[in-house]
Amino acid sequence: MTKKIVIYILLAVFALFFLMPIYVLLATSLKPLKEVGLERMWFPPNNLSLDGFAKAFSRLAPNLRNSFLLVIPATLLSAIVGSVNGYVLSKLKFRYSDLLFALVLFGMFIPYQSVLFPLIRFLQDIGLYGSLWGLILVHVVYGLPITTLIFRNYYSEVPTELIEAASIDGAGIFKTYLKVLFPISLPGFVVVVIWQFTNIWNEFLFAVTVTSDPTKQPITVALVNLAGSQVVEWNVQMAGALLAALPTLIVYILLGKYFLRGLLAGSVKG
Amino acid sequence: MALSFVVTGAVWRWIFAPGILPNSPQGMNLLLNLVGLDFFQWKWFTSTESFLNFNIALIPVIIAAVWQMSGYTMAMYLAGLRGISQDLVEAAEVDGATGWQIFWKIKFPILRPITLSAMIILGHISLKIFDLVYAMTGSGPNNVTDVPAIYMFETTFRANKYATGSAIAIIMLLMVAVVIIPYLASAFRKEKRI
Repeated sequence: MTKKIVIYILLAVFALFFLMPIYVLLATSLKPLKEVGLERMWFPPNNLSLDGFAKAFSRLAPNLRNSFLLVIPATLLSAIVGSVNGYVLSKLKFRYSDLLFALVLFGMFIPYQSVLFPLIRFLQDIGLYGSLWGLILVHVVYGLPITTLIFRNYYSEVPTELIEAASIDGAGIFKTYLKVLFPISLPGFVVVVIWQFTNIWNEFLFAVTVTSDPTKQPITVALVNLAGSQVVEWNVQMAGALLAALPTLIVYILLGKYFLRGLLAGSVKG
Repeated sequence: MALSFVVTGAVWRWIFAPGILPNSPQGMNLLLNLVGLDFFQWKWFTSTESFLNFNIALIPVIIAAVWQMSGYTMAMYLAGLRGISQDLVEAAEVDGATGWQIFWKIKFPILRPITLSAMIILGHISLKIFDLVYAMTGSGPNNVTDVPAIYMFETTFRANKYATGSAIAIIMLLMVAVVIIPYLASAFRKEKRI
């Protein structure tokens, strides 16, 4: 009996630990500025106020738009390229294709910093530095390892006979992909798109280094800069954080199952 | 993991904002006051003190990182636990094993590959962690919360020392490679065997 009580107390402590930031986030973002002060931080707001949200939205709206403009093309492009990659690496084995795949996978673990500076020079050379398109290109390339991995695992369960039958019927590599594999790839695409959407939305380092113009920065960068001024209006800050988290949260709440699949694909290796 | 490190950082920065000690504590210090632990107050990430050679300022960062990343491990273990055959557990129960024994003697050893994966994945994420620390503290007073990624960023983009910045980045790459390459190699060998 005492054992049960101890277990429940422990569980309650952990639950509080995980819920506390969410409570603070919600409570603070709904407070009017004068209630945000020092002493009342742990109490729920006396008067609900949407001032924080209104202010945060008016300041972050352009960046929110940027984030969508960045995330949607980058996600779709990296999903499509990853799917073709996965097809080639699982069904059209060639010499050293496994080694190539291992090298691609290593890209998933590379610290972004180690390529950051050459990357910026390259973007400057091709004239995309500082633009959203440059950022899209970076994210498409950096999304390839994980999208390739997920699609390779997905396609390796497709019977090879299907591919052979198509090639006997005279379909080339691309036609086989388009007519045979692409139509059955929807579950793979769902996992990849959700994973990439979340990751690109949340990414910060590339965003802050590639785009320096505040009007072109995605929301994660704008959120950090929001706190940069002298007096931090914490209710605006928390409302901004909630705004920045909302799209991924919605995706996670609605389609969490697929997000978890992407998460596990990243760890339960090739 | 669905949340951005930047968002987590912003929230925890607010929670651990120290206030002006000792008269007007804020955030975590205030909470400690309310539950009667008022002697246990720190300046958290604005502190330059260290305890047993460990920077106090890092504690909030570690707590935030744990909060953010433990969901990942939970998902991995959950997937692993679901894969354990119920027969094993029943057999152990017949043999009179307690719940504690079943976990430590049966389930945990079966899940050892997952433990390894979790350590390596979270380890390499922590090695290159940037957004969280940047959003919470930056390099902190006296560089107490300086991590390689922040150091690299500041050297390259604040001080414009590109060469030094690149060198730091390469060292980070090596640190990650030391952890990751054996892991990938063993994963591939296992796949070949199947």
